[in-house]
Amino acid sequence: MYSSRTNGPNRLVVVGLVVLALMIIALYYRGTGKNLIERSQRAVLTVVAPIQVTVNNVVRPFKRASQYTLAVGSATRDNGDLKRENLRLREQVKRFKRYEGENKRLRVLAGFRRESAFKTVAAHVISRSPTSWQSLITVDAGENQKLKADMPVVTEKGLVGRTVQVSQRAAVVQLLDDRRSGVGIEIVRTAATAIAEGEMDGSLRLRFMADDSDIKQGDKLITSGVGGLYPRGVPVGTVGKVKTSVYTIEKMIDIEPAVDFARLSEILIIVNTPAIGAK
Amino acid sequence: MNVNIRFAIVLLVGLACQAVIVPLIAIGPVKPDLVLIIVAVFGFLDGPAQGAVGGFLGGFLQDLLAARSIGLEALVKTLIGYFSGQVERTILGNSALMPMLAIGGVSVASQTLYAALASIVGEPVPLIRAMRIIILPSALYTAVIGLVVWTRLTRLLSAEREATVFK
Repeated sequence: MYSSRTNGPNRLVVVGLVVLALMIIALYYRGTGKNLIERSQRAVLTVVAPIQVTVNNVVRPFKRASQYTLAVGSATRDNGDLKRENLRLREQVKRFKRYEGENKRLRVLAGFRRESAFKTVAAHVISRSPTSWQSLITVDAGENQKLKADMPVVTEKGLVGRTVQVSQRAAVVQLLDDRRSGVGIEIVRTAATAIAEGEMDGSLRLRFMADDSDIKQGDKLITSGVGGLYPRGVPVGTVGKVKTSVYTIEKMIDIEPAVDFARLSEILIIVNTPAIGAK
Repeated sequence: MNVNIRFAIVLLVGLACQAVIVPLIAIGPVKPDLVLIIVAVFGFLDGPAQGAVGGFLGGFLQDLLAARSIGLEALVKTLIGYFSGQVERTILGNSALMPMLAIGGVSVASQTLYAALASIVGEPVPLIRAMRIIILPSALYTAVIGLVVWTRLTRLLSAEREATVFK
């Protein structure tokens, strides 16, 4: 029995497959076979997306029920906080109404474009990354809705990521907390810029902030627009723990993301940023 | 039904579950790898060549679905399928613990190999940190899920062979 499992033809098969896999890796990373691989990816996504939509439709009620149960527990606790918050916000609304009028007049004078000029496509999340090494989602909108790769993805709370692969009816989105993601950000309070990067454990870190830079917990972070992929001014999160280390000249800064990446169900894809128009 | 067709169906269902169900039971970045369990069981039952072919197909489909780092999972799962096929069925025996240990071990090997390959192709993974955050917890999770599905999966993937023997 043992010999039948280790004979020559078996080795030949595995060597052939290993060579084939190495060739695929080489083609993908050198970029020479990108068309062929992209076509295969789109074909797989086109076939699998309807299955994922069906499974997701079955699972969604259970998912919502579990989220609802969890939400009820925290709702009581939140209620008191919200009442206090409500009072504070009413005062703020009064103040902002005054600013709004002033802002409108200034915008007309300066000839600024309204921020709501972004055209978006709404989509549902139908699946998530199949491995622990990536943070990706698949959504039920694709080329049919004029989506392309490298389009920014947002929710009403802030930045989610960007599209990386688009088939006819589905698109894969690389989330901001993926370890290969990076976005240029601006600290609202100081207008200083830095880069927010995804980490292996699904958290976000702020990079390239010098040890003596002015940053503190709670600072709001928005996209800087540098690089042209993401529009300027989209909320990314707030500064969490700030640590210094003797081993590096950078500060180690955690970001509390504006968006809860684990609970995404609906997203918006911005289809008309300047970078997309230029392609 | 032919065992290869059965394997293909099990693999496709496993992939769909990996993409839709597994994220719901994920603990942070720690996810069980259902495709790995299917490939390993196929290898244990059918030998190295079939294990390698099954591993290549499962890994490549996983690569295409993930849309990034194409080829890495295909290479890793080909080797895992092959080496699972080298394990004698008698070693696994009738105890539930041995398959669980085997799947846990296979998972550690698979994730470590993936991390090493990702580093080689220019996506550096700090191995010690990855071991703590992803590799060992995922292996434990995969082993527990493996224990749950082992009996059903082996019955499903070996039914035809047993029927042939009894003819």
